[in-house]
Amino acid sequence: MKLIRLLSDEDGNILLEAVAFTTLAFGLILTLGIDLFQLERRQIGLEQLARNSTRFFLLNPESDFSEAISTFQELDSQLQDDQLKFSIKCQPTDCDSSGTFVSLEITSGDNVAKAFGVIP
Amino acid sequence: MQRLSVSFLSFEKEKGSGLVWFISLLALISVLIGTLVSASSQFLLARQVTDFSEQYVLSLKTLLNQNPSLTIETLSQRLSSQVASNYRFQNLSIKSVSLEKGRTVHAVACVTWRAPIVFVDGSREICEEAYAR
Repeated sequence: MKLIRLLSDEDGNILLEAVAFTTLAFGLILTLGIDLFQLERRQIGLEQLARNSTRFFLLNPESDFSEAISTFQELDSQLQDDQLKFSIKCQPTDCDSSGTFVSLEITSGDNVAKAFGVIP
Repeated sequence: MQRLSVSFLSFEKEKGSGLVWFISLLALISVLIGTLVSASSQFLLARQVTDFSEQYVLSLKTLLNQNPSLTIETLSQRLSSQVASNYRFQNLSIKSVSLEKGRTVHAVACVTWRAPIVFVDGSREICEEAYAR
């Protein structure tokens, strides 16, 4: 009863209401902005990881792809503790002869990054 | 003049709907968030297209070094067919591919960006170019 009376009452301080609303609204924007940039940063990091690993593999086809990925993962503080999943495709089938088309796809949660190249 | 002064005086009154004020602010915040998300999405896509075009020209240059008898257009078509299935870009196309001064491979890749927010009906063609020597 007291609450209904309080809600229907027109008395109040506009400054207090404006500050409360602005804090809530801009707090929301700030939180969302930080989350968004964090997501962006992770996506960019994952794409760099995919590109660097692919480049390393193309120049050293006899090397282990997963080892290259974990080495580059260690260098990125954002991705260090992530569980990465990756898949490699080679066309035609063997992944170590000259002229082979290699493509890599790395997944970390909702982020996906792709890279490709041709073994020289 | 009298009317104007009356209307100015009415500003002092506390009567009026707070709902209009509240909804306007809410709409402004929604637009701000929508702009932030759309700009971020477009920036990421542009980066991905840049990465794609750089890898494309590097691969094309490698293929060209290995098959000097084939034309760059033939190799580009072959590479496009291999690459296209790996990427989910909308309307991915290689707008132009050329061999400049017989050594430098140049390519322009274009995709269509669509706004990730449902109520914003926006699309834009994003093109990025790259060179490899």
